Amino acid sequence: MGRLILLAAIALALATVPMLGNPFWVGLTMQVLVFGLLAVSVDFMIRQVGLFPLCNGAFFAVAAYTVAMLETGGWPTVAAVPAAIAAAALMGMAFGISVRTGGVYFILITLAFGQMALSVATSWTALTGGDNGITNIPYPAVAGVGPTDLSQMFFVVLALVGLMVLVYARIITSQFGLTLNGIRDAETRMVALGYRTVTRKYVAFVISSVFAGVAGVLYAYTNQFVSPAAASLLVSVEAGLMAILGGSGTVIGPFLGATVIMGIRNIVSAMVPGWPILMGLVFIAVVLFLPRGLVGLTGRIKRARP
Amino acid sequence: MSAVLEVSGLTKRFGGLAAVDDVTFQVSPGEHCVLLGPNGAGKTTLFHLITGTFPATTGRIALFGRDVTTMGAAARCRLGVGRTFQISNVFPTLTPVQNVLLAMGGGHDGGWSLFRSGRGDRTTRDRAEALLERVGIAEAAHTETASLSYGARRQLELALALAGEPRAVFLDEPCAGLSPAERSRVVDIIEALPESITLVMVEHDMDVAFQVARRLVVMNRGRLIADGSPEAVRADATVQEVYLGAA
Repeated sequence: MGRLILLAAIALALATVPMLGNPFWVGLTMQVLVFGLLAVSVDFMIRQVGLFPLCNGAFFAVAAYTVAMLETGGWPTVAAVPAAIAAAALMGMAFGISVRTGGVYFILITLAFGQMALSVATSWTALTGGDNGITNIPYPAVAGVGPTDLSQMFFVVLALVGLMVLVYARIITSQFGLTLNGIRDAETRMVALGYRTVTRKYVAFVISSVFAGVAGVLYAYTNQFVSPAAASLLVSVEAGLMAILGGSGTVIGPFLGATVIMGIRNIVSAMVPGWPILMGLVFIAVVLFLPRGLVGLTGRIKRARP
Repeated sequence: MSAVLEVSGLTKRFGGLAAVDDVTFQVSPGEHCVLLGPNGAGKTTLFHLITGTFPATTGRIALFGRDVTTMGAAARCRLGVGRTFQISNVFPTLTPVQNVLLAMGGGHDGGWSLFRSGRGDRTTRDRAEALLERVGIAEAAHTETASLSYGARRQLELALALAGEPRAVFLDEPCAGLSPAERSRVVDIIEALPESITLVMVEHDMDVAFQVARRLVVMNRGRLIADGSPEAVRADATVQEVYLGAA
């Protein structure tokens, strides 16, 4: 209950951002929400299942490209969005074979899958526009009703990300979520109890791809432009960094991580030329000194008080 | 009624070494059977073959009348077997109650709901807590398992084997490393198992084995060397030689 109030408070605070009247902040906050949702999909695999995927950028990109192609091809939003999420889920079902491995092998096989998706995006130019990407993606509209400007779009993104966060919170505390935690903690024990652990990891992987897909859909609509940059390895890696930076397997963690990384990239980069170095330093410091991420910091502060 | 466990001609070779060598025996419903033997006798290897941790080289294993020789570990457990591990294999970041809730759902590969809460309903939670009470760690039911003592984790291990209402429990040295007090608690729990539950237990401690067993199967160097009531095995000359030396 306390958590719900906290989430509602955060959503309310974010809802005031458009009132600042500065499109830069509105755009940046939207990016944080979209990439935070992508980071949630990665965090789900890392903290709930115990696997580190490097292909969530591919799910993100396939959904973004699907929206881009269908919307610019004249499809209505109500058809384009489900098609895009289905595309991400299908890709998740195909790449899901990765869960038969674990540890480093899982990271490598998902990396290979992710790179395959990127090469499709860059080389299948007839479909994806190659390096030029797809431009002029309209805002979403259902039965002619939809956002017409940036701040209206912002509220659509805020509402949808909020909804996904609620669904996510439900999943990780569900019966299925508990069995995933069991697999993360002691897979051999889960097997000895009679569970089909590989099937469960597969289902988790597909769930993760759906969340990444929803993030990709929102990315296409907010960015209004999709290029192979959306499918690059950097997207998957940064989503992983956001998840680790935020930390602790909470719902808020990945968004905190997204805030830091997007903040450094969009604000600090304007002031300091070597901003990727700063990003690296922040990351190293968090991994070394805050293994539970930024969320773990609040626990430390609480404990430090007498 | 068919045997709970039927092992015939079972052999496991690691390279040139036959860790389990042409072993044949049966366990009937309700039996409390202890596999006894000195270190390196092949007891734990035999246990792993029966539970499906690794496949046999030759031979056949049947559980509840079904050939399980090529069946995976999880599928064997779903037939109604609860097992423990020699080294505690529990869920460290979850609470003991969550550990037991998971163990209760394993037998039918349950817990697929994405929306029903993982905390379980009132009656399920009560059953989980009652089981923790029975193994003697009720007071730690809601703490993180990683913070439990070694002994408490052994007790939780036993609870996990019992939680799924198994028809048979296979225990691998459940008393290993326990204090005398904890040991007698575990022995009490095992002795109090209902008649309907078949027990197969690996043990190298003679005292525990003789206390729990109604039937003893003794192994040495991969082979069965004795099989019978505790009294008969105690009087067996070969067993005395193995355990007490030729002197």
